[in-house]
Amino acid sequence: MAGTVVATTSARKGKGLIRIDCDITVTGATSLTATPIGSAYGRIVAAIFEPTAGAGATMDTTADLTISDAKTGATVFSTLDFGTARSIRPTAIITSNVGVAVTAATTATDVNRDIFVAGKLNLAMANVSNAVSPGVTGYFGLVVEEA
Amino acid sequence: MAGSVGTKYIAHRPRGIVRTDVTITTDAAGIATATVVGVGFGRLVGVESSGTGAPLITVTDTKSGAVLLTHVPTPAIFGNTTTGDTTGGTSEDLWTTGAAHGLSEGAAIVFTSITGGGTVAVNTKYFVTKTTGFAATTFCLSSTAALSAATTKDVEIGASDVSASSWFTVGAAITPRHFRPSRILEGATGTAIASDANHTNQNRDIFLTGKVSVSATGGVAAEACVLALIVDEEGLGDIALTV
Repeated sequence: MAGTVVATTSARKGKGLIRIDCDITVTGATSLTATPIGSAYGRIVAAIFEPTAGAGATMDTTADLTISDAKTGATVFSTLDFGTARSIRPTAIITSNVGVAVTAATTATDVNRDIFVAGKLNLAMANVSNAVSPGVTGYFGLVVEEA
Repeated sequence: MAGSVGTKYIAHRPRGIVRTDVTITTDAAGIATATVVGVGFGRLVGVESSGTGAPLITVTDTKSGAVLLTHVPTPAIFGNTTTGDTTGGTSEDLWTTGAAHGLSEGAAIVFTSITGGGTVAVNTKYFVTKTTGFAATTFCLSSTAALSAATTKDVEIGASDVSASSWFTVGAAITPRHFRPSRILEGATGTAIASDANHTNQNRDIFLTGKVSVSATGGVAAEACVLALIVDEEGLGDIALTV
């Protein structure tokens, strides 16, 4: 016995620029468990927030939003500030080839890179005000460049 | 005779963004031998890890054996102080935590760091042998799961107390992680170019150009790590860094 390594590969040809619209409703709770929002294969180029969308109360400015990979549960990006209506371009700090984050310094500039995703994604919320139906609502959009 | 050079031309039609999910199961020695996990021709734009255990995972180019990337998954380290006592009569060889440890008898833990002591090692599985009758912050360890009363405390902490340590529970889920690895540029003679005032932005993406193998060492038995490699074969690349 020498351990095992088993691999499966999935690939997808680019569909162009795709946008995943997420209408978020949190009812009778302060959080929303990780919920599938679809799959994407490419570079995240925008994350769009609109806290007043929907029929419920305005999404809390300080609500936490997390996008994670459905397979591993790894956080792709998160924000502790749902904030006001805006569009951002999230990035990640690169790591070395041993997985250690590269700290920005005068001798190490430009350490932020685009975030790539490949596969199914989940969305989760936390720190939302507890409200009865129609609850707290908001909109989140994820824009991915697949080709 | 003037020697010879054999050449082979390899190309690969892009498949878009390619994801390879790898499940690594370690053997009794905490090892998984190198296994081909697929082919990648493009820029490595993401790596994810999850599952259990924290062995050293190595990703290599199958053809050459060159190391492309190493990674130790992030285990869920117990979030409080843990000390080991070698003296004091009944408390001898007891471990004490700064908050309730939540361990049950039969559970296994692995130390990732130890300060002091002498006989306890990191990256080695130890079994929790006794919590019954103790405070919620105290437990005993053994090096074997098969116990008798005489071996309940068979792990000798050593000549001096362990003043600090960190550990994780075997089989507990690690903290999933998503990151984008890179490599340092080398000069024309193959020497790494150290970052300095004249050489900033030295990190570049890692490219895969053929079969890739994955192996694991330094873990404990029967852990199941999950590694995902995300490769951009589409050629999306990166935006220019200079405006």
